[in-house]
Amino acid sequence: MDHSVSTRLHHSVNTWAHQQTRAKRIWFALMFLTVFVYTCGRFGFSSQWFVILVLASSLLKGYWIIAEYMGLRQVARKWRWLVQGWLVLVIVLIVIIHQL
Amino acid sequence: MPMDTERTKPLPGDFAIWIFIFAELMVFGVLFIAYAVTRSLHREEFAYYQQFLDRETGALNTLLLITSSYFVVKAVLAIKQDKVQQCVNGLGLALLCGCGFLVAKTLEFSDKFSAGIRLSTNTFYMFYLSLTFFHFMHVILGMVILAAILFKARAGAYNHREHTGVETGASYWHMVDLVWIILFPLVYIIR
Repeated sequence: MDHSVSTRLHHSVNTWAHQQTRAKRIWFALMFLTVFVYTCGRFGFSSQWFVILVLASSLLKGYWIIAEYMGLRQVARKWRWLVQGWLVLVIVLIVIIHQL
Repeated sequence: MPMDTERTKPLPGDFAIWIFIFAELMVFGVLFIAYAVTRSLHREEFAYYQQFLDRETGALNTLLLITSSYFVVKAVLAIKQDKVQQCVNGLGLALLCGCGFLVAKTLEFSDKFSAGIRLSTNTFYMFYLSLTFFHFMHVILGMVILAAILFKARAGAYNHREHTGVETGASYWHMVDLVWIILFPLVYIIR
């Protein structure tokens, strides 16, 4: 096999393995945050800080889904910001409305 | 850290699906804000009726959607490496999780309907049923798209060079997941 082709193939397999590991780590983090929020809710927390904590965890989960699962981390900023902007706007508005 | 050139990649999948995704996000965004505003005006009523929601089913459904999204990511990564069987398996497992979501949600709806709860019961249930049923319909549509992609992938329609269809379906499915990530805490957790 040509050396440059072999190097490209090796790089491609490495990248694939790295992306698989990254996706799995994010899946673990998403599962952990979901169980954490559910458990806090189960214990009856309902303070303003709890609401902020819950929505902050949704913000983080949404960010990971948009950037990593949807694959927008690698696209032009305008598209990434459009979707992430929607997420931030909706969550910030919910927090503000909840505090009123 | 990806290089700058990687950050200028086009949107994954067909551009038309992104127009659809942006439109859907706008609609869900408006519904979420409408729920939050109405909740702030009827705090006691909402807090009372939220007690009767099944948080366990809501949490289970979140875990199922997150897991299905993970399998879809695996399917996309696999097809980019010409691993067709892994792609088919990933899509199949994602569909299985989707079925789990539909079963759990149907049981939840049937529980509410058998208790005589309807859209007209009160403001809270109007929002709860509208939001969750609207999302439920999106899950069904997402599953139809994933199933179509699965059959095409099995027929050998996709490979490392041509996998736009897989990315298109994946993007839509992740949008369904993204919306639920906000809907779950908003309706089931925050009281």
